[in-house]
Amino acid sequence: MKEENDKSANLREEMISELRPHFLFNSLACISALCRKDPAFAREGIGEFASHLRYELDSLGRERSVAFKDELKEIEHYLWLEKLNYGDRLRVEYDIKADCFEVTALSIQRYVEAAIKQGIAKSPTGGTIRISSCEKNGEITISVEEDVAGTKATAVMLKERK
Amino acid sequence: MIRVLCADDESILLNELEENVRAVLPGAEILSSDDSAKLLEMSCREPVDIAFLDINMGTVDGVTVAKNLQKTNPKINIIFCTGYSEYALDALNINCSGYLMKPISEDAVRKAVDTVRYSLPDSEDDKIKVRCFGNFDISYRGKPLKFKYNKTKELVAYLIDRKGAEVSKNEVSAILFEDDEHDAYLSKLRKDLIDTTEMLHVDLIRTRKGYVAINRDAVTCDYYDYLDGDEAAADKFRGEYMAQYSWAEETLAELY
Repeated sequence: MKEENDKSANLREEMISELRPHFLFNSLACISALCRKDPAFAREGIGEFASHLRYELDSLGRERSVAFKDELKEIEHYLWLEKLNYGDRLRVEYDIKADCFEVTALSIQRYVEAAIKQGIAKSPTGGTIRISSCEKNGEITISVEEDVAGTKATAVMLKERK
Repeated sequence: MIRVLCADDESILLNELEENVRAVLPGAEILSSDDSAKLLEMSCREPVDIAFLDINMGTVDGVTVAKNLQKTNPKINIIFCTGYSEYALDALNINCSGYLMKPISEDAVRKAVDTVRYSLPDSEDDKIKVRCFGNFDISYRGKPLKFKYNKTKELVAYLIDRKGAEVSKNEVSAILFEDDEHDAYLSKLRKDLIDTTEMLHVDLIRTRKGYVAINRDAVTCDYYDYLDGDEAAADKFRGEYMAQYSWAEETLAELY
């Protein structure tokens, strides 16, 4: 009996952690502060926040296959919110040469999150994140790199023949 | 004056926090930092009474900053701020005064300030304490004030004795040096006085060209309390007034 309770407690902790509550509350705090100073911008923030949270809730705890374009949209929502935090310290470049394929939801978003944590967050002047994708010989390569710590995460997959 | 440190690496939130603190403590001096590196340096240098610290800042750890601040002022009130409470235990180990969840409202700040662990300095603590009955002594928050020159202390004593009236350079020279040819030395004493009290953020004297006077509002003084009719101060008078200075005998005669 105890083993089952431990298991479900761990599972619960894991799921909560996956939601990134810290990030959610910090984003809400920023949006709250903006309500007075720039209400239109705050409204936009709430929209971005809702989109990001919806995507997370739809994806967490299961392997969901999504169009890469949709994953990119989620990354944009996520980066919008991170920009509230980092401002000019967070710069983003996209080099998308291929986008007609599917990925596991949040897989690439997590790379972007790690790039911010390992790079941007550690520098007072921030840095640039580069998200790129290309196709060669039936293989699709997706990369996320940052220029502070110089890390680069890459995913390679076979393009499915339709 | 109450000194408050606000630290959060998100400038939107730092701004908001500053505004809330300003609303709750209108007279306070507010230091703020959104730069973790500068914050670490500040924490070893500036004594503050309250610190609102984001516990999870990018390049520096809020708990480390808190420990540094406690070394600089052991009676500091640390109030941690967080988006999510997984660091609660670390905060408790630090003997913090409070723990706030973001978004932080003005009310939350007010409640935190009202329930601080170590009492905040009131306006009396910010005054320089002067003792005239017995030997002349001058201290601030319990510690004797150390000037570079002994004569600076005597200068302050004389200005206190004059009770806020303006004193000319010639008059001061005559008292301190028994002649009036020490312009350069007098300037040094004045500089010493200003330098020493500037660090305390207190304006001890008022000056205009050729004249200087004590700023009575900056001091708590047993002699002044006595003149105001304070009975406790009267009890303190045991027949001695600025005993180490011979020119003080005139005032001593008046006190009998």
